[in-house]
Amino acid sequence: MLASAFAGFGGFFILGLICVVIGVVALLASKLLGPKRPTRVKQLPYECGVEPIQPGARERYSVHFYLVAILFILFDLETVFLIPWAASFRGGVTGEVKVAMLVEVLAFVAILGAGLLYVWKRRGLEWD
Amino acid sequence: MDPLANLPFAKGDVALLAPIAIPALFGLVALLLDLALDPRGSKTPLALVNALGCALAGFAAVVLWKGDTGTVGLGGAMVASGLSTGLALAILLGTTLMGFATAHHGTGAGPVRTTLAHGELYGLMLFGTSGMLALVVANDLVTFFVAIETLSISVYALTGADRRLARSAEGAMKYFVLGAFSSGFLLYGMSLLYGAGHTLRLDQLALSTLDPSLRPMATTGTVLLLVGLLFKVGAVPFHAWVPDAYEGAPGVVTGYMSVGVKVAAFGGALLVLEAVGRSGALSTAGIWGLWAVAAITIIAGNAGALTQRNPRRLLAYSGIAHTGYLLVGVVAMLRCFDEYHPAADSGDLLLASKDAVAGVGYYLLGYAAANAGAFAVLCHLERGGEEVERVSDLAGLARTSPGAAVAMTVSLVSLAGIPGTAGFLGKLWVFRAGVGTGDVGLVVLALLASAVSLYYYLYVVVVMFMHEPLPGSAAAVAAEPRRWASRLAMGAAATATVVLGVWPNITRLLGVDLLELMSDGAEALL
Repeated sequence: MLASAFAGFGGFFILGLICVVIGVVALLASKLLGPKRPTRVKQLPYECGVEPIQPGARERYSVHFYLVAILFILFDLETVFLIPWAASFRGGVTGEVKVAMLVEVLAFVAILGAGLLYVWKRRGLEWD
Repeated sequence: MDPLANLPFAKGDVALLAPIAIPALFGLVALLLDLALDPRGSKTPLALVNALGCALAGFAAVVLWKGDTGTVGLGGAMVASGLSTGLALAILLGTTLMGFATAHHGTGAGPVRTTLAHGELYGLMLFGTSGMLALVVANDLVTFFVAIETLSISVYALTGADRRLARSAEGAMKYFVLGAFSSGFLLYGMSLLYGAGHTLRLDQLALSTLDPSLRPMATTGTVLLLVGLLFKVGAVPFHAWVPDAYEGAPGVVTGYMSVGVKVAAFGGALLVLEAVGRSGALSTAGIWGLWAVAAITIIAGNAGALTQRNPRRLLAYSGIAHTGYLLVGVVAMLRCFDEYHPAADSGDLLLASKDAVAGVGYYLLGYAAANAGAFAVLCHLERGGEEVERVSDLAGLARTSPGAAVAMTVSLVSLAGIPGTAGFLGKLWVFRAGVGTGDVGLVVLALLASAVSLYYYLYVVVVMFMHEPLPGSAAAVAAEPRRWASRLAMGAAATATVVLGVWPNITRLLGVDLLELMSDGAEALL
C-alpha cells in the first residue's frame, strides 16, 4: 500500500539525497578548511543594508515600508493576471471573445491605473 | 474547439452586475475628483458624485433586478429578487444621505483637527456599498464571503479614517480584530456546510437532501456561520465592538455603517438561513437558539441604551436593540422549516414566514431612513472635526435650529416605533409575523422593550425641546447657513421616514411599489 503510493518517486528521493549530501559537504568543508577573520560587521545579522535593530525589534518602522509593500503586492498581482491573460489572448481566440477579453483587461488596467494616479498625486510614491 | 467559447457570460450577467459595478465606478470617480478639488474647500461635488452613483445604481436595481421568481446569473453565483431590490434601495438611501451629511465635515468654526481625506471617505463608502449590493444577491458561499469582506474592509478603514484621533484608531482596531475573527468563523462554517452539502450554491444547498450521518457536520457549520453573521449585525453576545466602533468612528462613518452594514448583513443572513433552513441543517434546537439570541439582544440592547449619555453610543445600543427586533422576524422565517412545529405543513405557517421576510425587508428600509436621519443631524452639528459628544449638547436645539430638532425627533420617534412613521409599520409587520408563527412570548418581550425604549428616545427629544441651550454647546452655535448638504440629508431622511410610515404606496409614482417589492421578494425566497 505504502510502497505503491511512493512508486515512481525514486528519482525524486535520490535527488533529495544528493541535495542533502551536497549541502552538508559544502558547509562542513567551509567550516573545516576556510580561513576565519571575524569582524563586528561580519557577525551582524544581514538586514538589507540597514543597521540591525538592537536590542529586540520593538521599534517603530516608517509607515512608508507598508505603503511600498502594499503597492508592490498590487502591481505584482497585476503581472500575475496579465501574463496568463496575454498567453491566452494570443492562443487562438477569435471574434467576440477576443473583443470581450480586450475590454475586460483594459477595464482592469484602467482601475489599477486610477489607483496609481491617486497614489502618485497624494505623494505616496515619495519617500519624504 | 475554442476553449473560451463556453464562458458563462451573457447579457443577463451584465444586468445582474450593473447595480453592483456602478457604485464602485463612482467610487473611483470620487477618489480622482478629490485630487482636483481645493483641499480646504467645499466637498459638495463629491457628495453629488456619490448621490449620482447611488441614484444610477438604484435605478439599475429597480429596472434590472426584478421578478417574483428571481433572476439567476453568473453561473448561479447570484440571484436577484424583489427583496434584493428593496434592500439595495435601503442601502443606497443610507449611502446617499450620509454622503450629503459628509460634505461639510471638518469645516466651520472649531479646532480643525480632523485628518479626514474626503476623496477616500467617499471612495470607500461607495466601494463598501458595492460589496453590500453584492451581498443581497449572493447565491453562492464564495460570492457571499467576497461581498461581506468587501464591505467589512471598507468599513474597517472608514472607522479609523480620523487617524490622528486615538479613539478612532481604537474603534477601528477593535472592529478589525474582532471582525477578522468572525470572518474565520464564517469561513469555517462555510467549509463544513460545503463538506456536508457538496455544493457552494445556496439554491442547491437548499434542495439537497443531507445524508443523516452528515447532519451534525451541517448543523455545526450553520452554527459557526451564524456566529459570523450575528457578529456583523451586532447581536448579543457578539455585540461588544458596536459601541466602541460607533463612538470612535467619525459621525459620518458611524451613520454609514449603522445603516448599510446592518441592512446588507441582514439581507445576506436571510438568504443563507433560507438555504440552510430548507436543507434541514438548522435543527429545531438551532431555531430556539436563535430565539434566545433575539431575546437577549432585545434586553441587553435596551438596557445598555438606558444609561448612555453620548448620542452615538446611545444609537449604537439602540441599533443592537433593533437587531433583536429584526431577529424576531428571522426566527419567524425559520419556523416554516421546523418539521416539529405544531402548525407544520399548514399553509398558515408558510404565509406567516413569508410575512416575516417581507416585514424584515420593510423594517430595514424604515430603519435605514430613520437612523440615517438621526446621524445626519449629528453630522450637521459637527464643527471643525468636533462631534456632538453628549446628549446635553443638544439642549435647546429646537430654538437655535428648529429644522434639525424636528428631523431628529422624527427619526427617534420612528426608531421607537410610534404610529405614523416607518418604524411602526416595520415593527407591526415583523411582530405580526412573529405572532403568526406562534412566537408570542418573544413578541411580547419585544413590545415591552419597545415601551422601555421610549424613555431613552424621548429623553433626547425632551432635552432638545425643553432644556435651555448650554453656552458653547453644539446646539448653541447651530446656525450655519452654508451646510445645505446636511440640511438636505436631514430633510430627505425625515420625509422618507414619514412617507414610508404613512403612505408607502406613494412610491408607485416613482415606478416602484416598495410593499409589493418586499412581498414579491418573500414569495421568491420561500
